[in-house]
Amino acid sequence: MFRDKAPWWAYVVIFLTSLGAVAPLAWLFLLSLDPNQGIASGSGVYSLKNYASVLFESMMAQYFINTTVVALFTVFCTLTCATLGAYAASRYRFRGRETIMIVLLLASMTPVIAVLVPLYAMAAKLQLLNTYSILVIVFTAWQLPGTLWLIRSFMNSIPPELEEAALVDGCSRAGAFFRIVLPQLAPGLVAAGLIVFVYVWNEFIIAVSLAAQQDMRLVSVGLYFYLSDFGVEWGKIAAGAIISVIPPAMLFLFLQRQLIHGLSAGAVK
Amino acid sequence: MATVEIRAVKKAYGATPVIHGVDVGIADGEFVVLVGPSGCGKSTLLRMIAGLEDISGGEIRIGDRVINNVPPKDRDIAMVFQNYALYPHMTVAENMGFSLKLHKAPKAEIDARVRAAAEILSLSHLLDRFPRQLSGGQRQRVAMGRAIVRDPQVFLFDEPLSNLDAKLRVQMRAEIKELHQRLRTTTVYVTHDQIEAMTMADKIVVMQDGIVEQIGAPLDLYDKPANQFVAGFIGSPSMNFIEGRVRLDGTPRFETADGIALPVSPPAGVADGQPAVYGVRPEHMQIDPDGVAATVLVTEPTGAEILVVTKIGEHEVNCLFRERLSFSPGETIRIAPQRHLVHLFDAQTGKAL
Ligand SMILES: Nc1ncnc2c1ncn2[C@@H]1O[C@H](COP(=O)(O)OP(=O)(O)OP(=O)(O)O)[C@@H](O)[C@H]1O
Ligand SMILES: [Mg+2]
Repeated sequence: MFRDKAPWWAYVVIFLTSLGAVAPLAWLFLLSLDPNQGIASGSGVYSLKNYASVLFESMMAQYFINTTVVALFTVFCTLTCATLGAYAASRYRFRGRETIMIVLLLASMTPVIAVLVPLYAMAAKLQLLNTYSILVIVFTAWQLPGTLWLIRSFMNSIPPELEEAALVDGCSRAGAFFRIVLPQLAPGLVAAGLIVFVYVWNEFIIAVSLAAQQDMRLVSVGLYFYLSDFGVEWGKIAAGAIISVIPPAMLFLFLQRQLIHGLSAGAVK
Repeated sequence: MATVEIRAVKKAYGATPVIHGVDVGIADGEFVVLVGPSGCGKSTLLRMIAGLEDISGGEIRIGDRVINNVPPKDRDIAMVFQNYALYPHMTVAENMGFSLKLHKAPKAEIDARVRAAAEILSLSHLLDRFPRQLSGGQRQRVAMGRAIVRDPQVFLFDEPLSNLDAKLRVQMRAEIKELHQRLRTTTVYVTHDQIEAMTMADKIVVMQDGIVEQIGAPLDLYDKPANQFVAGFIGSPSMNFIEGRVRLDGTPRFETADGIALPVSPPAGVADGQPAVYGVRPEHMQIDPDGVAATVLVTEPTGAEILVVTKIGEHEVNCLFRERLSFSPGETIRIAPQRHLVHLFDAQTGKAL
């Protein structure tokens, strides 16, 4: 690995990159503390008024609950289906296995806009508009191909001999999966789960199309409607945005170790 | 402990046959080595005994039970894999006790048996470590430990030593053999290394391209190879082969196309002028003033013995001498095979004559 001290310009590059990433957030944060309206009013007055107003005077709290519920169910459904699919795609040989995997990958490259109208029509027909279910179903379907690919590559890095040893030691096929494969897969599942969670948290187009009714909105949709519902109240929008960043950021912090472990698994042996 | 009977076993992957009907009988407590070049189907056969591959034809019995359709967990076998396949998230003790735990043995018994096995393999101080904290040789021992705590009917080994360095391999070879002498568990051991096969086996099964070429005790295979393949495979450095004809007019001899005559005592039934392959092991060549002229190409002294690569006419012949001889390349020496240790093979079929 690189044992030498990094050259000075490496620090400059890293500093500038970080600045680029952090500056808008910092600006957003300052804005959220400004109780007066208007961007860059520079009044020098700071308060948490905007936060209080977002949390207690709007439906933001409800949107948080909505998003959390939808995200958790989506993560659960996606990981379950993807893990089972990945197991089959990794451990069993069958006709057209690679073709199916490629088709899945291609399917996941379809732009959302292209399927929005049919999705809306189907959801309407099934009377599922403005429900948690439709969001979970569509998000799961949308995330499944990528997650399946990701988990399959984790699965491929687990030697099949581990399972075979477990079979000989006295496990059934399912037993070998749960006792041996799943523990090896855990970091990969954490990584995949986080990716799906953050996707749901950031998703806007599908959410606004299928669940725009006031009490069913997700956080991203709620923030958007702030603009129209309250006029341009930058301070409150900024406060809402900052709050909405917190849950995924916390998750990343807590799961950081597993995440890095998972994303780099099999890269170095 | 149990016998293992392999009867007319076949294996095909889809339409591709890889094992074409193999019969092997393994006695109770016997140490049998399956040996053969890469891709000959040794691992496949072993995995069929383990239940990790379906059996396409024939049957396999362990004891007097046909196990073709018995799942691996109910076969009462233990297997050591080439890459050890230790469970990374379990400690050494947990790895070794895993199968007892699955079979619902009481905790005290698991503990006692793991300890006893660890004692035998000198692993006692490593019981709390994880596999990633062990050296290759230690992992290998844990894999063996996992097999012996079970006290199974049959041990299966698939090239368990091939990831170790040469010195450790020799040491583990002796340890496995000693372990077998102590436990007397029926063992099937796969390797492509004929020295491992010769040193460890009670009985060797030589395979090639999915068929059994010969089954026998190590020294039987060395002394009486059934065909040219076995003759070339068993023994190191391997046997010299020279093509030519058997002549019975006058002194029986073997004549090559370029007119070199080699001594032979042809078995009954060999006709004058019959084309054949002459086989002689390097260690059965001697310095002999009445022998044929050979040009020295290369000498490789190892201290205990010296390997001399020579050329007799157009034929390259390896000779292994125990004497301290020194030759220089280009020198002409006179050598002769020990007549009674020469093998003859049919030129077409390769069968021993
Ligand atoms: N899943 C499979 N599908 C098709 N052919 C296979 C499969 N597994 C093995 N084979 C073929 O079966 C033959 C025997 O393989 P096997 O692994 O038993 O060889 P081996 O004798 O153990 O060789 P090695 O010493 O290299 O381990 C090989 O020709 C191999 O290509
Ligand atoms: Mg093999």
